[in-house]
Amino acid sequence: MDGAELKVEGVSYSYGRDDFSLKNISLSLKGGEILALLGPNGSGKTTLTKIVLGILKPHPPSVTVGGVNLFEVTEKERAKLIAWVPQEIMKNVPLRVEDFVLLGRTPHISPLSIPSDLDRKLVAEALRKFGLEILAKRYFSQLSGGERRLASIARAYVQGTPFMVLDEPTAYLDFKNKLLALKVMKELAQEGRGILFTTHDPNEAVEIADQVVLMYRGEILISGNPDEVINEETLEKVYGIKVKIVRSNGRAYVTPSIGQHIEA
Amino acid sequence: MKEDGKIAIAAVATFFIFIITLGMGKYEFSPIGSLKILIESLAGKASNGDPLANIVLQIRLPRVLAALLVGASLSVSGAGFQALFRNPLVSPDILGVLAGAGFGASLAILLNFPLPFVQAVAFGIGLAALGLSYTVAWRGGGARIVDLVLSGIIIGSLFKSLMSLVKFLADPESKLPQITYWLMGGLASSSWGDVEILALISVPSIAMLYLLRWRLDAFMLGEEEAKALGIKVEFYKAAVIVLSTLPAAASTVVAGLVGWIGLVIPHMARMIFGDSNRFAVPGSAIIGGAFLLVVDTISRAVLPSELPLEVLTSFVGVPFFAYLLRRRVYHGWS
Repeated sequence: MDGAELKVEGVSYSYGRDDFSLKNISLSLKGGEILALLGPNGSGKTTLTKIVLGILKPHPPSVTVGGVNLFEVTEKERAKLIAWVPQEIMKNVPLRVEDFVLLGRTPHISPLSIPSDLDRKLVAEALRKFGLEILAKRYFSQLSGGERRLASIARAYVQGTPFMVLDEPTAYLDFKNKLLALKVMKELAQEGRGILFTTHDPNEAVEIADQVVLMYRGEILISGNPDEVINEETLEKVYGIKVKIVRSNGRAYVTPSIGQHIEA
Repeated sequence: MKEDGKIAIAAVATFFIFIITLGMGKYEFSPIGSLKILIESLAGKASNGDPLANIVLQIRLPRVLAALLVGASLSVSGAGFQALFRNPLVSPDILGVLAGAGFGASLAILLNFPLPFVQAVAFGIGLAALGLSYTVAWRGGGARIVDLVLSGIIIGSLFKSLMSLVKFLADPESKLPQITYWLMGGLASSSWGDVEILALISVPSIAMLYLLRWRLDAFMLGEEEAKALGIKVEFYKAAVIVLSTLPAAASTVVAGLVGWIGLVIPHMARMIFGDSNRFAVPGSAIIGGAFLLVVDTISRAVLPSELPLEVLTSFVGVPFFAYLLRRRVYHGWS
């Protein structure tokens, strides 16, 4: 897995005819690195993740993993290179947790067959790794929000891809589960996987990301390491609020100042 | 595995139901007697002279097999559509296929076609209805599920209107009752020809859906997630739709409109065996087959005169379904 690189080069995407949702986006991510896509609602983060996943086709269609263009390979080949944890995790999935996670093995199973013993073993390991063992026989719809998120991460994990895309992995999670999700991403990166995640919270980017891409109205405003990207000036520009950055033990903490809005 | 064991038990039970019901009717046989006639016939020792054996082989056996296959066809069709559409309220008539087949049969009866042609026209127009629904929903290289549901409703209502028009035009003394009885459904006239239709169209489709059971589970996550898992979404969607439509159309051709089974039996199967399509598809086939066989046997051998399947399926099915619903906590679709 090490050595591979995910590259997006100068892509644009438009949902309508003229109105560009994303303009001239480039980024690159190596195995073992974490990239945080930061930006307000509607800045194009989710659209960009769907492009990186090959679900939406941008212009030019230039998204590569280790030199392989994701738009020139089959869906199955693509699903062996990059995995997805979506933002909206459907609750209404009538499957048991173990069967849900097992679906992550789909790209490795030929169309007319069913999971092998190896697939089941990998899933059992993943359930252990993410602390989901005791929930294995439960229905997905019975899980809490945090458990569903973890199960989705486990499903993407068993896909065994060098890169993973997590769209707002901490959304709707409580304090503890947020930390757990961040910790899990860090561990996945330590195993050599490249992690791209989107977030609304600059602190999450500061906490775990190696590089931050700050998006604003469909374009990349600035990208680089967290210290370069996350400062009062850039955050105030994209969010339109006053923020304060407090430093403690060499780490930056971003806090919004309530009541002090800037006209965007 | 636990679920596999349950399915095996259900399959064996269904075989016993098959043997027992084969012996039921005006001329009663013990299960062993029926089994003996079956085995002798399979071994080529056709008991030419024995009129009772002929009743079993020529009249009762095709009807019993047709009931099994029609029940299995409609149930698997419903299970396939429900998984694909991620909707527990979907049944085999979702894309207007049954309405199309009903119209085709009505029209052919009105025009005095002989039975094989009535069946062929019903089948053809049923598939044409599917083609129309797909065409209306098709946009930019694919058909979204929500568009398919809407176009299916529109095309279904078009064919229902056409069916009403045919009934309106039909002679109320002769043709109208014929059409009405055909549509209400029944297996009284089942022949070996009907069994052949089902064996050639339904059985391979059910087998293919069974092989695709894993892909069906992925579809329950929604199309985008299925795509991210490496599934050729449009291809498999079309495949599942065609494979779910063929058995339902064949059933309609043989037994009339008995759509209720396709809505409810998949739920019974999911409650009993589990929600994954690995269990729901074979489970639906077995429960659906056994269910319709029991219902048809009640109609044929227990009641003083035969009732239409449409009527009897709900009389027998509703209490059973209500019992399951009250007894089990149903977690699947919430």
